[in-house]
Amino acid sequence: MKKLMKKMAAVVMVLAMAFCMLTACGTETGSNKAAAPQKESGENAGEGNENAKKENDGDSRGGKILLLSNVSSGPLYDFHIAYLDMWMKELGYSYEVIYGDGANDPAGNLTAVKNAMTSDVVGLIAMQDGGIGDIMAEYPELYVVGEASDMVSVYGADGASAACAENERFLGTVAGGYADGNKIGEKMAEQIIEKGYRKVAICMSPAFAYPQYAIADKALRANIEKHNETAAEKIEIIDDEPTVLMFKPLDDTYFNEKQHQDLDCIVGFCSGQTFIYPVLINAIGNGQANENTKILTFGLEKDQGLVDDVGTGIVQGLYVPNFENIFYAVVMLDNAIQGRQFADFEKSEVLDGAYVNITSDEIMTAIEENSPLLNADMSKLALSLEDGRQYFTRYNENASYAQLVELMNSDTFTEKGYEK
Amino acid sequence: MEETVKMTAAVPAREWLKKNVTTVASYGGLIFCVLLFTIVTPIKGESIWSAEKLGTLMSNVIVTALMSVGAVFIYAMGNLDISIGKQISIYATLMVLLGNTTGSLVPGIVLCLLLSLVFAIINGASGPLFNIIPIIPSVVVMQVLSGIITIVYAVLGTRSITLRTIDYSVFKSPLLMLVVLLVEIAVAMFLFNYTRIGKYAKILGANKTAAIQSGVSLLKFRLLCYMIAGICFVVAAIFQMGYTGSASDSTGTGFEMNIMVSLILGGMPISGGMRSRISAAVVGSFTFALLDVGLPLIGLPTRMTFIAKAVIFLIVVLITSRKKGGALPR
Repeated sequence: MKKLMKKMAAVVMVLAMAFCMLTACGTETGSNKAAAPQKESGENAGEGNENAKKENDGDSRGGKILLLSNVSSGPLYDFHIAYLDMWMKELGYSYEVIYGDGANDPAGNLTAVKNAMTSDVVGLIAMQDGGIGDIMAEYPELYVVGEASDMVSVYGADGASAACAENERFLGTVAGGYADGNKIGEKMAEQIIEKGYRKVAICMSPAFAYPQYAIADKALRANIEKHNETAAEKIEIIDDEPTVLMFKPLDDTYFNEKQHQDLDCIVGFCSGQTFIYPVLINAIGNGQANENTKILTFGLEKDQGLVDDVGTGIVQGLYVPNFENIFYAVVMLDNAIQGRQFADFEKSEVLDGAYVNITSDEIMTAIEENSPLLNADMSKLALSLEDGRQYFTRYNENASYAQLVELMNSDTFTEKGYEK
Repeated sequence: MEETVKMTAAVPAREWLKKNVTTVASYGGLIFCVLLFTIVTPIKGESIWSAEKLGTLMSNVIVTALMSVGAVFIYAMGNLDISIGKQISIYATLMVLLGNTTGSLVPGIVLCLLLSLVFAIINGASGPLFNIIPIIPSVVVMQVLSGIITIVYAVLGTRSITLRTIDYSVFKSPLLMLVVLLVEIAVAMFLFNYTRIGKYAKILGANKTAAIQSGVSLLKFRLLCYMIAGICFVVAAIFQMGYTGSASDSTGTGFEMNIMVSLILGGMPISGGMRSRISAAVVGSFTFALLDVGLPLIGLPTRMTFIAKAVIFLIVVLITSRKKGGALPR
């Protein structure tokens, strides 16, 4: 019995320890908590909120905003954390990053939102569109805005969440780059022609996951074909169909095939620094691939070796949907939550996300030194907090949706925004 | 609690506790979670007992609980089935596809029930027939289904499909979820505790050789257990699909692990045997779901919930699974 009592005492102590640990974890000092949920902005929110108060009569509404993220690490994630830390503090909200289903499964996304839902949640920034309709049906008072997602289930033909497009609490989205695959294809064709590549192969993420890439592939081929009609030196696209990368790097055997051994360029409709670059480097090292084979692709990796390579080495074109595009989501959500929506905002839409086009060593260096994309340094934003305030109706009664759209379509968020 | 404990006045409380400490401890995780969230959430201005959160809890628990109840029949024999997630995925996909084609969910459900029999035969019968470890056929089934699912969604050109014309809102009703769960538990308890199926399953898990030498048909009862489990998986798939009226290529991913965690949290020995209980599935599933729903309510950031869940899991396993010899119970 004595032994049993000892055991029971040990269990009680372990439970007490776990209890203390859990409640301690629950304090508001977590890294994802920019500010405590407040009913009044301007409380404990620093200098920025003092300004907000002055311009805002101090009657703004607080609450928590959820970021339904599709990443949990890397430059984009780090940027979002730093960016939301800054803006949420300024605007008087708290925020929490929640993790959607890795494959954008509607049920997984809905569960993520439901589990994180507390009584103070007022808005959702969604980086993936699975289950958006169900989320909005479940929480009809919630304001939802997309980020780095074309929200194809909302705006696509026969989309599962098409009803959201008409819902006044759905505030639109900025795609992760061009929403229209044709424009992506055109862009790549222009680069191939401009850089003078003659023998090109295409790799892409699966079309069922990234339907815009299948469109981009067709558009690229059509544009090259059109170019060949008048060009003295024709461009050859190897393989009738692109090589599909099923969420894993290019297979090593790719370069065993003769037609892939003397390529000028591989176009990667994917994160090519991860999925193509290592295999190509290996193949060049083994003498299997042409040492002058270059890559044009998307995404941005933080690894210094990869960064140094861009523009000077293998990756000759890197197209990065600017992380600062999230500004649109922040503005739209804040205006809606404060009940001060733009007077000229009539219906939600999908906007193209601005690309940072890194096509030379100079541009890569400028991005490294002058932008927050690799280091999440908020002092290097293309649109600073001070400049950004003018787009919020809480600060500027004359702010308009047209101005915001103009900003999103301008060069502010392209590589030109980081030129010194 | 199937191992019904009747405490009479003649039996001193301490002896009762000593005798049933493992059983009591198996409920420790759930009781701890209920107490923790009941006490702490009001401090944070929330309530785990609000209608909304109870609904969330129910929708979180339903699929795992329905699957786990079925899986008890498999685990009781000391077997593992790691194809469950992919089975759920294929069932949900078929229900949506046939639902959109025929305008009714019935053909899809019937087809899934038939398919579940096929999987039960493959998973349950191939072991005794070909003298192979029971997990091997389930690995094969998982991989085949994984390939089929990839091909289906590649052909469809999308990662998820949605019911177009069928109103699936009924499957979101917490009341319906509760009723279905209770019915399944009642049927499963009856089969597990009061028929030869459950009793032999436990005996097979405890000592297969002795069971066979006592005249228990390994093939027959293993097949029956897998068939019962298969039916439970189809019921779970209906609710999984009905949650958002959709299915995707990632539906069911990790479900087999959720089942395993739930059963262990509920005090079920992973090696099966006489300590296997249906209640372990229910207790474990609710504990698992309570953590998902409750931890954010006490202010824990989402990324911390994984660690907190792991710690609680560890504590519960230490309490429920430790034996004098230091080994996990058989």
